[in-house]
Amino acid sequence: MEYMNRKVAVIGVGNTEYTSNRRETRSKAELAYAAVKGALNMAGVGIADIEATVFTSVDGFEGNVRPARVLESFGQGLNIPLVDVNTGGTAGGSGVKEAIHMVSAGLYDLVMVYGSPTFQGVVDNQQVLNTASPPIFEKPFGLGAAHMGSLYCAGYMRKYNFTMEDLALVSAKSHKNAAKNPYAHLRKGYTLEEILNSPMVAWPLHMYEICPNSSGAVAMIFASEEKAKSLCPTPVWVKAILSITDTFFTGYRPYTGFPQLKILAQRVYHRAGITNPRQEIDVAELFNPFGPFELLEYEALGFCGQGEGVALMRSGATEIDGDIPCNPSGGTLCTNSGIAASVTRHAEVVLQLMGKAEGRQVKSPKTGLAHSWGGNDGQFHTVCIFSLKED
Amino acid sequence: MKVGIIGYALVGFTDEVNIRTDELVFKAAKAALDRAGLTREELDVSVITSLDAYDGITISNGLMAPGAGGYEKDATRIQGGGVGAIMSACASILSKSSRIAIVAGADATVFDDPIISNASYDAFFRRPLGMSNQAGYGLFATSLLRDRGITEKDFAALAARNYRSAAQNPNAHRKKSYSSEEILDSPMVYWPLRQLELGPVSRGGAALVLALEEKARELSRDPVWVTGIGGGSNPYYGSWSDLVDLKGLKHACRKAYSMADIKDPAAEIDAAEIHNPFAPFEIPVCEALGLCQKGQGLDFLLEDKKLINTSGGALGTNPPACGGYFRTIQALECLKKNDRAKRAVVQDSDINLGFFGETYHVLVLEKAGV
Repeated sequence: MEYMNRKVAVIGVGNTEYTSNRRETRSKAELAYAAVKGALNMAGVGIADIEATVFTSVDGFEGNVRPARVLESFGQGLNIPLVDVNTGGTAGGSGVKEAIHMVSAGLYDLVMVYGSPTFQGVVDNQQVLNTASPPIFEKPFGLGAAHMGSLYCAGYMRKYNFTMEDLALVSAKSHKNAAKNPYAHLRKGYTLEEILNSPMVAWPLHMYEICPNSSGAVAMIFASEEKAKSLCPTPVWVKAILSITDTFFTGYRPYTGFPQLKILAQRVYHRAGITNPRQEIDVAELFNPFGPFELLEYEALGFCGQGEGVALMRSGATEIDGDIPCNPSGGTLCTNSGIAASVTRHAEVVLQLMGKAEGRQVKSPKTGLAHSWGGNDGQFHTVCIFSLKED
Repeated sequence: MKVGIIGYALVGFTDEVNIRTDELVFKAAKAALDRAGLTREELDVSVITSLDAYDGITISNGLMAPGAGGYEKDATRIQGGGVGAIMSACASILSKSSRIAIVAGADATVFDDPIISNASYDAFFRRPLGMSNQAGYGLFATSLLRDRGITEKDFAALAARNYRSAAQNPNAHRKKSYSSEEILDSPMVYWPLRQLELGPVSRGGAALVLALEEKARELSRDPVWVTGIGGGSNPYYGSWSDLVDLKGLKHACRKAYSMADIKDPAAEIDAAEIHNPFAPFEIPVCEALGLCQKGQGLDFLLEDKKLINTSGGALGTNPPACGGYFRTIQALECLKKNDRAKRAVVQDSDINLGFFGETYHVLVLEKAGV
């Protein structure tokens, strides 16, 4: 508790079903209502019990400046604070961090976090994302999301002499898991062959190694110790959460791994009292809008050594029935509803620890890790450790 | 356990700046750290306030975070304004996640204010009507004329009062002391509001350094304490009375005053910095903050009963993102300059985007020894 003033736990998660943003027939207001209602129901509270809401999204994709202001599911009718967090792809992790701080600081006892269906209705999100690049030096190159992913994957592949098959295998794992997840968007279970035969988008990434544009929303309820114990039979306790920031310019990066995530993981593990992540973490949800990112994340998070990500994945350790299951939900690769996807990494870990991960449940996990990645070419990471153990 | 403000800096404010956003935020952050006697390495967390649309790029905090000391640090970005970012930094410190935080931001980009404001309204009902921040200010001001018996001359008198203060503030954007006559002669923009009754869009940067109580005492001889902070919101499709009664602001106020143990704000608060991007908004805000009785806001302000908007308020200086920082820093300066002022309140909002669905923040600042 050195880095927590008060204990904080998650007591509710609400998900909508996910679909393609092109096929979506529900409005943003309907999605917000459904996700919020689901989270409140699981927590056994009403909107009048919520004392503050943290809204997370990236405005540029939404078609509205500050979209939270026009939605009404966040307690505005009761005039509660509406905190608007936007740090790019990590906005979900940053929003969760904000809620945890508000509760831990003693400012509020029940705080809701909402992950917006950021990509619902976006016309050309590559063009929007391109404006996140340094305006004079890098933006004119036309950098979009797929290019950001391909730079890391190509550098990683070359440094360790990995093959296209090595990279595609980890995506096949995500697709296999997503097929079991009722809240996944792509549930086709694409195989290694199908992935390698899908169109090349940005070398070395094929279409099925790149996330879709999904639509769906998620909400979580964070509670103080007293509220958590009185309201929830299986509160999931927050052990530590932090973020890290890289340079805005991307040309200096090695593109063979995530060195900033490695630094961040050490800081978070120190705060959470984790000395051996491979042994102590029972389930992890890692931000993988590009399937092979998961391999780089294994290494940065200390699940294996440098260059050993493929071997760890091929060993089966990160499968749902492995000793360190990663992305049992199918990850961001199969469901990317914008910032809902980075809140979902946390919501999925919580559902796993509560034993409520229908169809994709890991066997009796006690401690979980949620990660998010975002900003200009991965300028930010967040890592959060959840546990069933209160102390 | 409380939070102290141990350093701050302003750069600007003016119509346009000939400097990039990241350079401007660096300038402000560096000056604030220097004033606190700290280096970037000693920071635990960096909090930005900004809005992508104002900055012309998406995820604009990515551009600003390294300039605000964020490299390899914990960081975040709050979009609802400067006092919201200060609340985030306080929550981080009070939760024990960090001990020293910087909050920073910069308004450097020239943008089309009515278009961005209009884009914050829903696409089907209000956006096509041409709703914007200034249209909303006009509606609000109209209700004050109709329901409160306040006159257009009163609006001008309030504006003139702000300009008199701005003229004495070296940090103000508009530094001319416009008279009531000049204000009434300025062009009508949204009836009944004239050009000089509406705040400018000010460019500049600002930063504040905050620290946990024990750290603040160690690092500063005269920290100013954040003793209360609260937030609130209004519904987008709420009633007109929700709006003009400022229920969201009152919610924020209750929380901040309860934290600061303020029971009688009229007696216990000596100074206030209020976000008044249109002149008559000061009236209901003063009443909502409990600085005077409901219905007495106009007389309270014109009789100068307390130190209200000694900076010249948002009519003098109105940075769209950093306004909350500006007002907080002006309240700090007011406390430092006035011996009789012990406790100040800062009111912030995102109504630069417009009314309906707006959010509010309230901050209570206290000098040592209160």
